[in-house]
Amino acid sequence: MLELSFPSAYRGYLFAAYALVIAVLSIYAFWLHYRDRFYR
Amino acid sequence: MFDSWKPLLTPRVFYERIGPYMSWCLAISILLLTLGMTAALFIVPPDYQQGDAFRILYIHVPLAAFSMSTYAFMSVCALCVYVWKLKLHDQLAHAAAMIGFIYALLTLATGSIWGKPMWGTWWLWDVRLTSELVLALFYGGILISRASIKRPDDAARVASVLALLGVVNLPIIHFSVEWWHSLHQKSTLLGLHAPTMPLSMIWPLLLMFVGFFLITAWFIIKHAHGSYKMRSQIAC
Repeated sequence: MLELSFPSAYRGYLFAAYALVIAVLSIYAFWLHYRDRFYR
Repeated sequence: MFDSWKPLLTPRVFYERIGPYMSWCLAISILLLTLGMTAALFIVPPDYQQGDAFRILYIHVPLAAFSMSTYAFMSVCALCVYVWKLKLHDQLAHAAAMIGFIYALLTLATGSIWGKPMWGTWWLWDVRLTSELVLALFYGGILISRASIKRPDDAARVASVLALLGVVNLPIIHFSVEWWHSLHQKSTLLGLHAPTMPLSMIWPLLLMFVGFFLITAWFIIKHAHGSYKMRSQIAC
């Protein structure tokens, strides 16, 4: 049985790195999708 | 044979043909990236030296690789713009500069976040880090030149020359860890030697690479298509 648990060490660094990348790319994707509405 | 492909060089035809595949491209890339990140954080065993900190590799390495390969793609487009003045390639080059700039900044940021626990510092003037910073500056310069020059043809020409000048930086970034003594570790996957990671650690990285390839293509085409639509509306 596969056990999934978030790594205990360096939790803050891992969270910061992954959250930063996901947040920036998501914001850019939403901006691309809706930018023609922003400029109307 | 070339005649059947020639219409694809026209922006309208290109976007019409590729449009139906865009949603699939985004959906598959999100699926692969979600699987890759889940495996990277929860399934892959910790590294024997770096422990759990090494898991940053699964986003840092694809970001670094695609910040460079996007630059290579942009340079090919820039060459087409400079020699043949192709509109489609100008739109693709502009879009590639935008996502490449974001990737280069994220590479530096994730590298700093990895460097702090492993090296004890957020930044070093190491050759690998500095050459990646130069790549980000080239991207920034290209975007600023496009935004500040009013005539689109002139802006495309200046941006193309800048893009072609920056190509010399790509081998310097890639081989910097081989050519000079560097604190940065050597290439894990794309070096001159066989991969140094075991299979249990490599497979999520391969998922991330394919996911990043698809999402980069989506970002570039989505941006270029949006710019084309906005210009067409202004022209009307």
